[in-house]
Amino acid sequence: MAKQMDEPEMRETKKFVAEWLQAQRSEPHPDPDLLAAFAENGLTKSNRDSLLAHLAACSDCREVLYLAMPEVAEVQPGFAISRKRPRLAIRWATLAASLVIIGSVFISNRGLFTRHSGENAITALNSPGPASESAQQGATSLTAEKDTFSTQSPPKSRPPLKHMTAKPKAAMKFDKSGQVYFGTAPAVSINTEYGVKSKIAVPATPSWQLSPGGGVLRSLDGGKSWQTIPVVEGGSFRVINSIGFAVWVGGNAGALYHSGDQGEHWTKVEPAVGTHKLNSDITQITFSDSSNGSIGTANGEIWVTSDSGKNWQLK
Amino acid sequence: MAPKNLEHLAISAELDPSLAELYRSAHAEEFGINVGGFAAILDDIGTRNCPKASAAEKLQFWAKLHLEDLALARGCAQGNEHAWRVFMGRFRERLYDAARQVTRDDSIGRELADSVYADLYGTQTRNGQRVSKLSSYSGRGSLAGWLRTVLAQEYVNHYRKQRRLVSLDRECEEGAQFPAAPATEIAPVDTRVEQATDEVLRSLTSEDRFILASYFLDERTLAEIARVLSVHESTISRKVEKLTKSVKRQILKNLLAAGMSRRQAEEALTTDVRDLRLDIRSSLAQDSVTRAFSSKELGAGEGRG
Repeated sequence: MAKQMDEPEMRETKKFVAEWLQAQRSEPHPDPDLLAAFAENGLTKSNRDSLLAHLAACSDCREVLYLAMPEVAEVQPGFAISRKRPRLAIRWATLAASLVIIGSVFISNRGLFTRHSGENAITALNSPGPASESAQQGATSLTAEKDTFSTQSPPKSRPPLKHMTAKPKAAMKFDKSGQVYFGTAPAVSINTEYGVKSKIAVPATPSWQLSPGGGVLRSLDGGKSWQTIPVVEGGSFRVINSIGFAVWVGGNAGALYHSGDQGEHWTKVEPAVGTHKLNSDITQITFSDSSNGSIGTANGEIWVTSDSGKNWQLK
Repeated sequence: MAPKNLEHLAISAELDPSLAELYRSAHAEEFGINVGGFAAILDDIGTRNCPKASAAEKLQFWAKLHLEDLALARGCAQGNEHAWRVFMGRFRERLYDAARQVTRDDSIGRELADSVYADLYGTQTRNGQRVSKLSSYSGRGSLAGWLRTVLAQEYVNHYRKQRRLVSLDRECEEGAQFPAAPATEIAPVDTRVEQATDEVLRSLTSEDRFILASYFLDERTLAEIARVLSVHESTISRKVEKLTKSVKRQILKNLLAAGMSRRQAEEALTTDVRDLRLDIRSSLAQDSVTRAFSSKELGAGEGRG
């Protein structure tokens, strides 16, 4: 159901907008081919704009369009990409930020770890799981340097670390297409009570999309600007999927390309089982991680890989 | 064999390696379409969709079509048995599923899918030949998406037909049998309000108008609109909020520019829209059209938009 509008401003505007829009007429109706292409993001900008102008004025066609949208599970991965990637981006960035924070705190306070090698250093960090383990390992490895540091260190009543603030989320934004991204090399600040401050760059995750003409577009600034990435000369693609640094694009007649470095280099992938090759139009690319994924084709074939596309199985 | 008047296409298709490559990638031969026939299909689609395009542009346009789906659909339309077997294997269940999804009802969904199947097979004849609805598919969207759209159109037509054939009892219940005389005299409202609204909404982009229509008129959810436009829900949320504010501000500004005082303008914006002399009924004139998406119209409308 529609979202409830509780703001008076919205209610007021709705009255005028609704009446005006209802009064518009637009005929003749577009053919189903055009509506299907629109729903699949397959129209050129001018065709899309003309169709949207009709749709804005024609309630019948809008109804048809909404009714004809596939169930969420059926949505082309080209559209699903925006739902999948942010979560992964967050996971990766969180992991990277955590490692960077732990590492930086550890390095900038080596003296403290050495002095409190053993229970004090670990208590000061107070971080569970693998982080504690790494701190413990670090503390142990630094024990050898203990004597050197102990001669320069202040009295042992030094308080434990606190005020450690990491703000990876501050750099997290939504781009104009609603995708979550991380600004170009956002800095993670780490402050300690002793005034130690360090800034560590977290690598940016690019956003990907296909142009209406099937070109591959990449944005490194969260969707503010897009650059065309040359994959293959004259290449036109239908679906795109990215996971981490890996990007897959698929097009007609089995055209399948993979990049493992955020689109800097591309390799043509030719799935085959025996003499049978993937040569149908690629309609779906789904990867759950950088190794495991599947390719769907127009003739109903599902090709599966579990080693980043080196070997394929036909389901 | 290609008809005589299409012989030149057959020749050019054989000579042009690009056309031959399109033919090969479409697997058209598998569905009983020869290279000349396929070239004729492409030529027809190209002429209808991009009549002024150069040969190179047309080739580019054809390469972006769902060629395999196109060959299958046209093979079926020409009565190729293998094409039908492939079509049934690939789309039979999906069509029923899609019909159930559109109608939200098992039996109505089945009925709808059966009716569409009949159209796909071709129940009408032209010049002694069966006319299949599949012959109107031109490959701009996927065949699966096209089938879903055809189902949805049929459903909307069906629903409209049912609405017109509402029973007498129900009409009585709803008081429609003896409707009240329409109010001939509508309270006069400053035309400047209509003009200001018209100016502002007309200046919006078609996408913005589509979003407003979907949200305010159809009461679609943000998620539904976002899916149709392939953007995130939060993008639509921000857009609706921004549009709502800017539309009101602009109308107000236009009213002030038209000579209203701020108070008058603000009062005008709170006017009940039913008082506005917008001929809303005429906008619903689609009801008078027999079918919103007749086959004839679809054919005529192909390539437009």
